[in-house]
Amino acid sequence: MSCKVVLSELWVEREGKEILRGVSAEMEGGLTMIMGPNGAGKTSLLKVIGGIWSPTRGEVEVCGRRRASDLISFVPAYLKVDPYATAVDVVEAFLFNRRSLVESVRGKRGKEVLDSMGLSSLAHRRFNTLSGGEHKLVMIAGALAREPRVLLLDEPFSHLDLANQQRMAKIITQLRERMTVIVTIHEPLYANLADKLLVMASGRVVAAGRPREVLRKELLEKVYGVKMTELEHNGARVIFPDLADLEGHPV
Amino acid sequence: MYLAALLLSVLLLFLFSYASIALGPFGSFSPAELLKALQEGDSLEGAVLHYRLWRTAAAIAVGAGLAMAGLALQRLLNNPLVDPYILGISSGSALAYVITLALGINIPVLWYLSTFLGGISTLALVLLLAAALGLSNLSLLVAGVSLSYMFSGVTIVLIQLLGDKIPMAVAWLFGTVAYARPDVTASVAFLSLLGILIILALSPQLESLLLGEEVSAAHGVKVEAVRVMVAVATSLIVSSLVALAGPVGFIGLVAPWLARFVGGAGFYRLLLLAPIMGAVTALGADVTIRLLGGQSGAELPLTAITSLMGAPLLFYLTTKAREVGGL
Amino acid sequence: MLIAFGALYQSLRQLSGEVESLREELQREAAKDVERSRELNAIASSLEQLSKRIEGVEESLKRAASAAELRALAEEVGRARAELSIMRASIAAVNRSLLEQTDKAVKRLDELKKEIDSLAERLLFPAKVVDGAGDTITIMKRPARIVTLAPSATETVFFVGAFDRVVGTDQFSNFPSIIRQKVERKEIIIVGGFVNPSVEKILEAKPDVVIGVTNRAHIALKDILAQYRIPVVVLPQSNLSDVLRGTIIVGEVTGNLVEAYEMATKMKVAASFALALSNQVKERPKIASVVWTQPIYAVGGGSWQHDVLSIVGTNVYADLRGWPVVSPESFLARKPDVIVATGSHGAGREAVINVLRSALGDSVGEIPAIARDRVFETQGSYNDAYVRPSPRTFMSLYVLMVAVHPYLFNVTAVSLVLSPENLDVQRAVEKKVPEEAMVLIRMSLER
Repeated sequence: MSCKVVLSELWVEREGKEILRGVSAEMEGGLTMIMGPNGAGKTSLLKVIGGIWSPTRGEVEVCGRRRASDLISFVPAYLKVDPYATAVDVVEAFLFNRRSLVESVRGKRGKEVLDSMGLSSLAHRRFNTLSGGEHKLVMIAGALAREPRVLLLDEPFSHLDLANQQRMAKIITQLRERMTVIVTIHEPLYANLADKLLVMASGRVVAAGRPREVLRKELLEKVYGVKMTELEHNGARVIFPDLADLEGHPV
Repeated sequence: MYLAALLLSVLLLFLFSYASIALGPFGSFSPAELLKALQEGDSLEGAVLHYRLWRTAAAIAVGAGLAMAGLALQRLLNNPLVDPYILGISSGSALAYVITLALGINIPVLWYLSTFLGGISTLALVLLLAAALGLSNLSLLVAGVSLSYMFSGVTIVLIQLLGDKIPMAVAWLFGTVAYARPDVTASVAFLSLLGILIILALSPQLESLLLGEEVSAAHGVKVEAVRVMVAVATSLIVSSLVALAGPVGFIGLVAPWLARFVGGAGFYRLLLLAPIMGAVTALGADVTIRLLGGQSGAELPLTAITSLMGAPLLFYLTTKAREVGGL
Repeated sequence: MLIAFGALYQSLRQLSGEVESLREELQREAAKDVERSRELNAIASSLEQLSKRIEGVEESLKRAASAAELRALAEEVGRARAELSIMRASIAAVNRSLLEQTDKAVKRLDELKKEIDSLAERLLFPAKVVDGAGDTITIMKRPARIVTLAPSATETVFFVGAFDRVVGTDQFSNFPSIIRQKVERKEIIIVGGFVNPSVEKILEAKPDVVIGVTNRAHIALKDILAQYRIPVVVLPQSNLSDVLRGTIIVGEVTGNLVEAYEMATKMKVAASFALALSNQVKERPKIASVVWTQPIYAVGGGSWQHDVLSIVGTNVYADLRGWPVVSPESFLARKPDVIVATGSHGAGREAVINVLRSALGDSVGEIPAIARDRVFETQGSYNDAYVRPSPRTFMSLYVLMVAVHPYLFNVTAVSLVLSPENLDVQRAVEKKVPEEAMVLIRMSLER
């Protein structure tokens, strides 16, 4: 059920600033991760793929179509909703054009979706009061209920503790079998999970390919401008900022 | 739970409608007297009943319409603190209405047209002002309330200057259904029904907007078009109601809140509950006014009562929204 | 109809004869008494004019009978009654022996009036009345039940003699004073406020006609009460001539046309006499009238209050329309000799002086009215009469005439607080003003 996302020479200009500068990429199924420092254009790229922004130049093709909003689910990094809205209401809002009127009024689908995801206990809690992890799980539940062919997740690992990051990684890796999953990440650790990794800097894709090819100490040091340390563990390459680089730090 | 809430609100609607028909300075009708008065339309009781029926109809139209407009605006702007009165749509329409009357125009179609233009341009102006202040929930309130005050001020000055050229009651300035003309009530009910239908047609899109404009856009909602259509629909409802009953405050805030309170926040449920609660609120306020007026029959404005409910609620919602990060 | 007109015609003929013989006798008297001859001759010539007018009415009566003609007839009879009642006083003063004959004429006129009234009931209705809003309103029959929506409307109805038919009124109407008892006895119900009447209470009063003023709410009521086939007539209320117009409108609506024209004639005489009096004064006093002090609202041009001030002296704010907000400094520029404060509206004497003093400091003494302590305050019924546009306004005109020009009435000290307790306007002007004005003042004082 996966489908192809093709980006050709995407340029995006907003408020006089060039945010994307000639991004081309192809993502055919599986899990694509977009990585890069703040302001590199990760989220912007996700928004352009999602059709939220239209490119100033260049083209986006999703499953061979220019407009494919019916095939897409978009999960933002953070969501603030009506303070009275519950988790069920948020899931229902993802389903806004995917139900009959009767279902809409009865409002049972949202509950069913949460039940199927093992989130029954959250169903009637106020969405804005949920923890970061619950927040994201509820949104992903809603996004999946749309049965998308392309799932766009903005920063799925942000605001999560380690256990929840692990849980999220599990969900995402399972999903790649069923649909094209495109996520933005900060953590180089989870980049190892990607089928395809795009590294961005200043609106450009500076490296693309399998994580093993792309994840290199030199590249990341250049992109982030920080000294890095590289470790190999269980076949995954772990690159993280060099703590010894911090002056006066007791390492 | 929802069904119980719906049943309760329908029951309240019937109860308050009955009170609105049965109670008044003329005296209260027992059910038997009501039936008798209904049968003999030409009697004094029949005339009083006829008047109260139209007054009740006007209150229901005002309440239901404002509640729908408030609900749609709250969802569109993702802000539970707004209603047509707070955003200044009502006072913009009222100013346009007074100008129309001052020009000696006595053609209802032109009233509606001018109040509509007044309402929708105020809404546009408030959104622009709020954007200039940095579009946040509070900047919307500030922009709306300040414009609202300005327009009310101009309205009052105009009335002061033009005096008797404007045929309407002073009570109208603060909202009243006491002087609702049946013909105007009928056409206003039609116009606001049109606005309500537009909102109903947009309800999937409005439901999606719970997730914000970006997610909605990704899922295929044409946000710009929805924004324009909701602005048109709410202005249509509010402006026609202003021509009927003047600017009635806070029902657009109170009714959606009451509906959420009793029936939860599910949007499709609110679509049913909010207008019923709006009608209940308006009827309750109007009956209260008649009871307060007592035997002397002096008509007090509706906003006198609705703001007693609305203003504390606004305060409560603001603090609450702050707590859970809604502001 | 013809029979009624025949009777009317007979009465008028008879009356004409009586007036004629009265005139002859007056002339004979004049010949006898040389000293009084001038006075008697004046009366005789008035009588001659009167009899001519009655003959004119007779002529028109011979022709067809329409509502318009009846209206004209009523106007003539109304005027004749007003004039004859004045002449009666003059005749009594010069020659008591002629009184009997005069009274006969007065009596005949009374009968005439009754006949016109009964004719009016059939001939005037359905009446088409053009009201203060410019609308033509059809009154189907002589209304038996009247609701008034404003104190001025209630008072006007009283002055044309239709108050006994009032069954509902607004909560501010307090004149005539019997209203209170009538409300207690439930003969009159209160139908709400001046600006916010209750439709239900109006319906409860079952009126044949509702009389309001050109006020937004009352005009708005027209469309609503039309649903219940209740006509709403609004009276114009801008200035003094509107008071006259309103009186005639009420006459047409109630069918009391003769009284209405009689009252209108009296009001005209009262106003023109007051103007003639104040014209005798070398320098017309400059007057400012303040109706509210925070901010200062003054009486501008175009209102009945402006008309009153312009008869008594000149209104310093005449160039501003309506009730403008004026600055304290403007008092220095316009230098009023007299200030009239309306006591009941939070703008008493003290309030006006204080607000001017606090704004202007010592220079407040530059205002002549303050320097000479000529700041008056209207109180009680004198105030009501001044702030409401009704036939009672003419009483307030004479109250201010006495206050501002006491020497014209040989009054020495006038209190600065103008109330019925401090100043008996009837006594002050008695025998110095025409009977027309006296009638208005007596009615305004309910004496």
